[in-house]
Amino acid sequence: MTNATPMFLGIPLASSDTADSLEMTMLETISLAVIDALPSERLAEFEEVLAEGDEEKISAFIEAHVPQARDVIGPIIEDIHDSVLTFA
Amino acid sequence: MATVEMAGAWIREPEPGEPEYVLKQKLAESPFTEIEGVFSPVRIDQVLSARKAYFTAYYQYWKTRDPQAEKLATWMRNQYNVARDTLASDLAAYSERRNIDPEHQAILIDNFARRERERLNEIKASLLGSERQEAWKRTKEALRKLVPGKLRALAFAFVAVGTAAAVDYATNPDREPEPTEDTARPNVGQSSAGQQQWDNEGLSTEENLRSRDNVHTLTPELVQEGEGAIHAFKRLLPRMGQANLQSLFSQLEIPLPATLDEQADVLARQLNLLNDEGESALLPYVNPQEQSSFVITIVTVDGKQKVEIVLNTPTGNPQVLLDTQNGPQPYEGPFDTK
Repeated sequence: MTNATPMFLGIPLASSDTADSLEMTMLETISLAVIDALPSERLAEFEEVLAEGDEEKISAFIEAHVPQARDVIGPIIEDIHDSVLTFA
Repeated sequence: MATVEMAGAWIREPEPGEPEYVLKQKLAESPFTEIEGVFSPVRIDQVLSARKAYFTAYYQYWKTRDPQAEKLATWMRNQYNVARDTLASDLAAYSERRNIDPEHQAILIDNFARRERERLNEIKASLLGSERQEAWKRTKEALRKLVPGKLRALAFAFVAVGTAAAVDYATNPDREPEPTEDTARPNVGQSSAGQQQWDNEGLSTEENLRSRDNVHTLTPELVQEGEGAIHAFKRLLPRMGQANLQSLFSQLEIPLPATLDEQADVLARQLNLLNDEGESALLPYVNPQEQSSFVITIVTVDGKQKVEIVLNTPTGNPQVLLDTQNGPQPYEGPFDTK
């Protein structure tokens, strides 16, 4: 298929620019929440891991060092997902 | 304590001169001026103002765990929901009246959602301490320098952590999750890609709005790379809740299997997602470099339930695997195999 439907969290969107933009917004929002929740001594390490962009390392770091990591990130993803669908 | 005083002021009926009075006035107004075709920036700002007030109140509660602050946050959340739902309702009615092009409307919606998130991030960043604000600035800068492939990996990493939480919530129904920046809502939304498909199949916007309270949609479950349908269903089904699970199998005219393993296996088999050996085959139309997602939607229209299971793939249009509107038979293709 040549015209791939742009997707964000499983939601078809009107344009790939929008999907990219929402993805960045989600990353920023979650990063912000993680920074808020991390112990101070881990902040610099988080920046380094994030800059590397290694999926597994990031997951492992968050699980290990963010208290209640799932409770911090899960609702944000749901919130963004529902925001996109609010008017659908 | 300032928070308590503030909470007290917000909980009682606001009076002229107080910020919440202005907010209340704004929420009560409904000036649907026709700027930008459909969306009025005034209306959007009203919703964002309500959202900002709610978020600020919630943040106060989060920091203090003060019961009064919690009451305030709950009140503000309701105000925000009212403002948002009113705007959504007006938009739907307006679009139907003016026959707005759905694609144009989708772009407007996307823009709104993005603006909302960006504004929220600004608010939250302003509430962080100086040390974390600096870390945030550097992180934001780093994110914007990452190449798309790395960004996608980050998104997967975050979603992987976040979706695990969703299963936790569903499998511990007695557990009270911490209030979130939104509504600490369960893993059931009010609309979905599946709903959009039904829109395309003839339900008018008005009919959809009427039935909105009866629509239950699971947050899309991402299919992990190299994973078959059974594994995806094993993560997805526990989030449906027992009643909806019962309804799904009832629609399929199959007794509800006792275990999660059996439920996932039976559903995959029913949807023709097993290979010739009866094993959970890799979905043939999933690009392993991208991710797909299943969406299960249960809707009640005129007292009758129907179930739809949609597979969204990044390489094609959503595939309707099951639509019980016309009986329990699953959709048999053709599937997009590219």
